[in-house]
Amino acid sequence: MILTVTLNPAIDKILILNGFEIHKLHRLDSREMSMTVPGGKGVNIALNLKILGDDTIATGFAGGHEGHLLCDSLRQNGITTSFIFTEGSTRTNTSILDVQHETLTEINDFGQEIPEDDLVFLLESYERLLNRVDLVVLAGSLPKGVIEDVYRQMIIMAQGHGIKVILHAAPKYIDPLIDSGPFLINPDMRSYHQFMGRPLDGIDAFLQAGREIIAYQKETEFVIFTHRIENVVAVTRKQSYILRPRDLKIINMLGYADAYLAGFIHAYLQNLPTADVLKYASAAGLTNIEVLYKEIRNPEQITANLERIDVEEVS
Amino acid sequence: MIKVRDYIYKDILSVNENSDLRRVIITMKRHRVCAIPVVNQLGEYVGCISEQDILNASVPQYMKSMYNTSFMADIDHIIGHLHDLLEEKAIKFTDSGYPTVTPNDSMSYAADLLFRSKKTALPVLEGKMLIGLLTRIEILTVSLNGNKLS
Repeated sequence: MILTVTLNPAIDKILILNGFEIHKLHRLDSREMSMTVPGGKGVNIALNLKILGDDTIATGFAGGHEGHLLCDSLRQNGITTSFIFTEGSTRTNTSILDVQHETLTEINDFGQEIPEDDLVFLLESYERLLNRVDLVVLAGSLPKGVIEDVYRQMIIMAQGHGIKVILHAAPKYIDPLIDSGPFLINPDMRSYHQFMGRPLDGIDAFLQAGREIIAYQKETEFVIFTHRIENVVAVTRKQSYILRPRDLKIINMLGYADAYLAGFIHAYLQNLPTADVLKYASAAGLTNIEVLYKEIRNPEQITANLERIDVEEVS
Repeated sequence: MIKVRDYIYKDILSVNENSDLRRVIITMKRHRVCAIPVVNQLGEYVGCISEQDILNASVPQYMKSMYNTSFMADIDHIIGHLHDLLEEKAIKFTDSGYPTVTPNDSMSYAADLLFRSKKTALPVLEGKMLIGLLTRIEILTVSLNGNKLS
C-alpha cells in the first residue's frame, strides 16, 4: 500500500481549446473539451498508481464543496481517501491547453489557509496511516498557515517506521529538507531554475548536484531531474543515468512528472533492476505527454514505449 | 453472493480515542457524516461515535428519568451540558459494540444488520483495520445494478 500526501490539493479545471485568445468569448464545440478532475501532485500520482494497479491511500487537506468533489472522484477511481477537512475550500487550478497554438496557460489558486489544530489532527492521522503503508509520497506545495517544517516532521515520522519517502516539490520546499534524507528527491524545476541555493540547468549541473546530495546524505538513494524530458538525469549511489526518449511528440505536458513518479514507484515495488525502474518511469512519463489527459489511461502503452527510451550509464 | 468488498465506501477518516468531542463534532460536520469510527494510536478500530451517542450523552442525567423531553424547561440545558463536554475524550462517547462488517460478508447480511440496528453506516474492518464504510445508499445501490441481495 502506498500513501500519497497532498497538503494543497486542487480541483483541476482543464479546458482543451482550438485557438485560445484573451478578450474573446469561447463557446466549446464538439472537438474541444472541458474536464473537472481531482488535482495536485500527490493526487495525480495516486490516480496514476491506481491505473497501474497499485493500491493507494490519499491524504492531505480538503474542504468545502470542492473538497467533497475531490474525495468522491478519487474514491470512484478506487483510491482510499483519508483527507482532513478544514473550514476553507479546496482550490481550483485552471489550465487552458490551446491545441492549435500549442500553448499551455495555467492559473493556480493559492488554496485554503490551515489552522494549527487541523495540522495537528492531520499529523496524528498520518502517524496512524504509517502503520499500514509501505511507501510515502510527499508532493506539492504547502498551503497557507502550514509551517515549512511539516515535511521534515513527516519524513522523520516515516523513517521512524522504516518507510521510504519520495519527495516531489518545488526547490524552495526541498532545499531545507535535503539533510533529512528522503529516499528519492525529485525537484519540480519547471518554473524555478534555482536549486541548492544556485542556478541549476544542464546535464552536468544536474549530475553534480545529485552527486553532492548523495555524498552528503546516506539515506538518499535517488536524485532525479525530470523537467528536461529530453534528458532525464537520475543520480544513484552506484552510478548515474541519463534517459532520453526517442521521437517525442508532446501533446500535453500536464501531469508529466506525476506520471513519471507513479511509473517509478510501480516498477521499484516490483524490485526491478535500477536501470529498468528508471526506464519504466521514463516510459510512463512519455506515455503521459503523448495523450491529452493528465494521467495515464492505457498502461500497456508504457510497455510498448519502453523501447523508445535510450539509457546512458554514467559512472 | 454479492459481497461487501464490492460496495465499500473507501473513506477511512477516523478520530483518535484521545481526540476531544469538539474535534469529533467538527469532523462530522465537515465530512457530512452522522457517525465516525474511532481508532487507537496504532490505527486499530475501537468503536464508533454517532450523532445519537453524542445527543444521548448531552441530556443531563436528571432529565433522562423523565423519559420524555416535553418535560424540559429549555433546550439550553442540553446545549449547555454538551458545551461542558466539548473537552472530553472521544473514547467516553464511543460505542464499542457498534455493529461492523468484513469485506467477505454478504451484502444481505450487511443490509439486515443495518436495518435491525437502525444505524446509518457500518464500519468495514479487515482484522482490526478500518478499510471503509458501508452506508445505506450502498445497500440501495445494489438494486440499481440489477441485482438481488441474495
